[in-house]
Amino acid sequence: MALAATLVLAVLIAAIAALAYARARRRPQGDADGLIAEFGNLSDAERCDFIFAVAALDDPSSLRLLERALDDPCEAVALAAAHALTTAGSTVPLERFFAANPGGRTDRIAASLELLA
Amino acid sequence: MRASAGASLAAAKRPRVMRPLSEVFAPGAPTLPERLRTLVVSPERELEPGMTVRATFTFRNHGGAPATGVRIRFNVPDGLVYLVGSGLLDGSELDDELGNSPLLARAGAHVGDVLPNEERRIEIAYSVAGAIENGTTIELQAAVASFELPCIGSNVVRLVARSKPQLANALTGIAMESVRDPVPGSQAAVTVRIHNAGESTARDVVVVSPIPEHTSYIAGSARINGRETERELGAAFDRMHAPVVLRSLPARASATLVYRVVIDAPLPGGTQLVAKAHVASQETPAFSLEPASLTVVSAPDFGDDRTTFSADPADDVRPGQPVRITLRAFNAGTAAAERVSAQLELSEHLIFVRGAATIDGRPLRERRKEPLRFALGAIDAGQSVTLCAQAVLTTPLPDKSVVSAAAVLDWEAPPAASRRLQCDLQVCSEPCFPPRYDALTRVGSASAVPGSGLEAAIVLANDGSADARDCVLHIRIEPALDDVAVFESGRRLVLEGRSADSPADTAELGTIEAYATRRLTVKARVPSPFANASELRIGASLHTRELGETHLTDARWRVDSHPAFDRETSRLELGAQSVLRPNQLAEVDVVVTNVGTDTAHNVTLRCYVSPEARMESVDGATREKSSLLFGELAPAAHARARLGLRLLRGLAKDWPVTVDGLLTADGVLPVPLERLTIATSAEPDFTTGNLHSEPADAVDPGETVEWFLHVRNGGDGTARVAQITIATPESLIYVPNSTTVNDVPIRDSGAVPPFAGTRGIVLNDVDPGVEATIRWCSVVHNASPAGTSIALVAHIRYDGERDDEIASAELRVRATPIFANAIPGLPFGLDGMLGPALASHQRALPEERYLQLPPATPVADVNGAQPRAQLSAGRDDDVDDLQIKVFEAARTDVTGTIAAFTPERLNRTLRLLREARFSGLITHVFALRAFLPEGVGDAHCRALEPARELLREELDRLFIKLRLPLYVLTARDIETPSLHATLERLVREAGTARGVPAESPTAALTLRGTFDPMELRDLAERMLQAQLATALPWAALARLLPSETPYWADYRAHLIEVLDDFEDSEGNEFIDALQHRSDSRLDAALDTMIASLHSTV
Repeated sequence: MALAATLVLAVLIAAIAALAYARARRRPQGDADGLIAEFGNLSDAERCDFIFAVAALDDPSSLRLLERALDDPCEAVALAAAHALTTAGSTVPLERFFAANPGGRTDRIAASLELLA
Repeated sequence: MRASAGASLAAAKRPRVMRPLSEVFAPGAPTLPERLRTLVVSPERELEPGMTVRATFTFRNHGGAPATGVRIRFNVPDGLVYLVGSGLLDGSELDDELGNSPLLARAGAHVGDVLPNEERRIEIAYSVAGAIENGTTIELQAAVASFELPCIGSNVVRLVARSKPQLANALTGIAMESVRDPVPGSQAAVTVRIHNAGESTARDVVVVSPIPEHTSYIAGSARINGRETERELGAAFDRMHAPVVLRSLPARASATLVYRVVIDAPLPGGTQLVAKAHVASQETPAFSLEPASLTVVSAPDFGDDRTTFSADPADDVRPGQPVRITLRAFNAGTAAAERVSAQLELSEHLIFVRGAATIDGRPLRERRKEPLRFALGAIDAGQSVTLCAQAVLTTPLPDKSVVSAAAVLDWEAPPAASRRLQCDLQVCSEPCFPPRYDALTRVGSASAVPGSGLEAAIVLANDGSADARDCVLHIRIEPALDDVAVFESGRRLVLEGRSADSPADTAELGTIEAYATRRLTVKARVPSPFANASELRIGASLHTRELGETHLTDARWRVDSHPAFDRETSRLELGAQSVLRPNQLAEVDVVVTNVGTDTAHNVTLRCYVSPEARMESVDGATREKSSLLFGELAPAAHARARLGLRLLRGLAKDWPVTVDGLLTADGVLPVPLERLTIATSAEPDFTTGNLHSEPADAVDPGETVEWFLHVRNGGDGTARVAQITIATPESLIYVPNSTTVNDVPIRDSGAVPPFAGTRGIVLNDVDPGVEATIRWCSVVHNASPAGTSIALVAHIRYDGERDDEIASAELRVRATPIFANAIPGLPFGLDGMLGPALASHQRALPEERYLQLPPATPVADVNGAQPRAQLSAGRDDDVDDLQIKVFEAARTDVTGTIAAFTPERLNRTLRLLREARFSGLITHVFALRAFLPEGVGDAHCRALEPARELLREELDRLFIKLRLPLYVLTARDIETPSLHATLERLVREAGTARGVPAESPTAALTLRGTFDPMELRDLAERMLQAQLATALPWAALARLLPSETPYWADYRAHLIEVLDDFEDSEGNEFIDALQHRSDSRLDAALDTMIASLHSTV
């Protein structure tokens, strides 16, 4: 168990370090939206992986990214973000998003979350 | 004088040339010398036209010889004419029969021979011509000749004609006439005719003819006898007062002076044009001619083409279209028209637009009275007035009809007159069926059920301005429907086909009038059966003579057709025999009827037969385990199958065999059939039994006697309660707690053996063939005398009615004195007797203990079939018994698993599995996650919960990723090192687990399974060496799946088989198979398993 946790942590640290390096190289220091901008340049599958990677981080920027990802054009990415928020216990922004965006897409995400609960 | 005398002298000297008679009197020839002075003429000097001139010529032969061949000739001067019959020779007429006188001929008149002195007298008379110029000289002479004498002339008598001209006569006059009507502006000709009625020529004829008043001379038009005269006059005719128009006008001749004038315009009608003239000549004093006059004819005229009445447009005028009506009144007459007015006469189909009229472009004041009458005022000759008005063509109007408009033009200037003008408008009108009104609309729901009626409303609104004639409505129905009918106002229209073999889809509608609306209703019935989701379409088109084909919109329905089954038509029926006896086949007829409207696919009847019976044979359907597959079943079709059921064991009468059927098909709600209850006639029978002792024949007092009561249910029914009582004689002393039933110790009932109590030994649910052996020991009373007979009787009461007795053989006590107290085996002496020792027993009954039934087909122990539960003597009264049998049938070295589901969790699990149906084997990975047990063995499995959590985490992510379009699975999506390590630990712990986990008290559904721990241990060892993302961990987890029921066991076996096949695979073959390889058999097994879980919810 400890080994698995170590491996997951190492992967996450490596992913964050790679993103931080890319951000530092491409963007000037102090760009607050750099993480989100980089996130927007990834493919759907990469954004899903990125969501799963930052899901374990309990920092404000990661939560903000997850909230932003709820409105991702790709419904699977949005579902991943919703799942990550649910897993992290941050249901308030999720409920706020659902209330603000009623519709078929929200219903599908909610139904999938219920299945995965 | 001298010169003329010389000329006469020369002429005298010139020789005389004698001319023959024929050459005298030739025109231009000189007269003959005067030799004979005997010609006498009367009158002698003057003569006047018409007078008679008589001439007498005599001559005498003064010679002596006769003159032979005497000829006489007279001349005929111009102005004199021979009077026929007047030529006489000596009083004898000389004229021939034609009145010709030979005296005037060239050869003269033959008078014969004249003898000497013979005298001849010749007379001739002339008439003076009527017209002979005054002063004309006429010379008369006669000539005579003979053969002997040359031609001799008479004296020449010269007469002077006296005559004069006469211009004033009836033929001389003046005339004035016009070419056509003497209207102002027209031309008129003034003709002055001058006739000389006198006998001589009039010289220098002068005509004074002034140009008449109100006329104008047309220059150069003066003609004298057709000859232009102004050039000769040297000035214009109208500028000369008394021109000499003729230098001479012969007698009896006429001359005409003509000139043309133009009548002044305008000129009032009735004006007299007077032409006057005076004529004179040198011989005639001037005299006036009777004046000539011409009355001018003048009036206003609107009759020519310049007065028009027109409409614009006049052709192809459509109803409702404004029409501009124009009246142009042009006074083509020669007088002004006073108080001209126009009255428009419009057809009833033309609506006058008030206030839109103009006269010469100026708007008119609106008048309420006589709005169609317009005063145009006075119109001078040559002037025009244009009246414009607006009208609108009414609607409706037939096509090609003609609408007329007329205008009556009135004027009062003399004379008062009017003219009516008319113009026609050619109407172009046609019907119109616009899509906004005309449509075919569906009535009612868009969903149609086979057998139900469809209704569509057709609205045909002729919004055009003309009638639509020969209307034919074509109905298009695709596909064909039943009972197609068209109604109009409740009346059914007759539908006809376009041809003899075409469907009736055409209705004659006749004429649809303009702005009329026809409402039709099309009704049809959907055939039953009908394929689901089929689209029905009813279309229509209207064909009219004017417009041709007009398509209407289509009404569409979607067929909502489903197969259906109900309990009335689909049922289970018992065959011939109404009672099912153990080990006998009972025939059950299955009747399945598709009462729906669509073909049912994969019709399957899942049979749930009581555990006491099983299916032996199936006829008429394909059997797949306990399901009957009927395949496809058309609507209203029946399918029959016959089941052969065999009662596995006997049942009491009140425990009939039941057969439940759950009818399923694709897209059909499962229909549970009416339960079939098959009565059983199984009866227990305990008459077969044996009660014997050991020893059997004789026994010593104090010796222990072992009693064996073998009872067996020899019937075919189960004995619910079998009460065994045995009375114990006083000669026997029961050995306490020695009673066993089938080697199971039975506690005594107080101080008495259990079979001697009030109830005895009570056996429950004794199946047919089940044998019970009651064994106990008793000691022969030591005080029993020798020869005592001991016999026991066992009573077996069962089913409350039967009481069977089983008696033992007599056992005799043999008593012999015993004085020794040395007992072998004891190191000391003992006052007593050696007691009996318990010994093993042999089965007293030779028959088989179990009732072995033939295996049910096709279930067998071969071909990979699961271990089949064997009928045992254990308890088997409900479903749990079957589960226990499964466990008993399995190998003894197995470990149990359990997965407990609450209703909510089960629902969520089933939904997750429904959502996780991806292509490939990945679906079954989610099934592994769903049915992973919560307990393995009877001890706590520590790795189980972490493994469940990791599996859930990984597969939840995978579930989300697989929703990405075209997502390609990777190895890390399937297994991570931590998951691999956790699963390896779980498999290892499962390999060491034993026993069966305890049930959850709160679970609504418990899924149990068993596995071989050895297998798990072997797999755990192999997982240590295995790479990530292979099938090995999943094959190990598959062995932990539930296998309690045949469905679950079937799915688990298939899954293990599929996953084990990847043992030797290389590379990413397993990853590829997860995403791309499907196994229909495995999928079907999972479906079956899920369906069985659905039935429990």
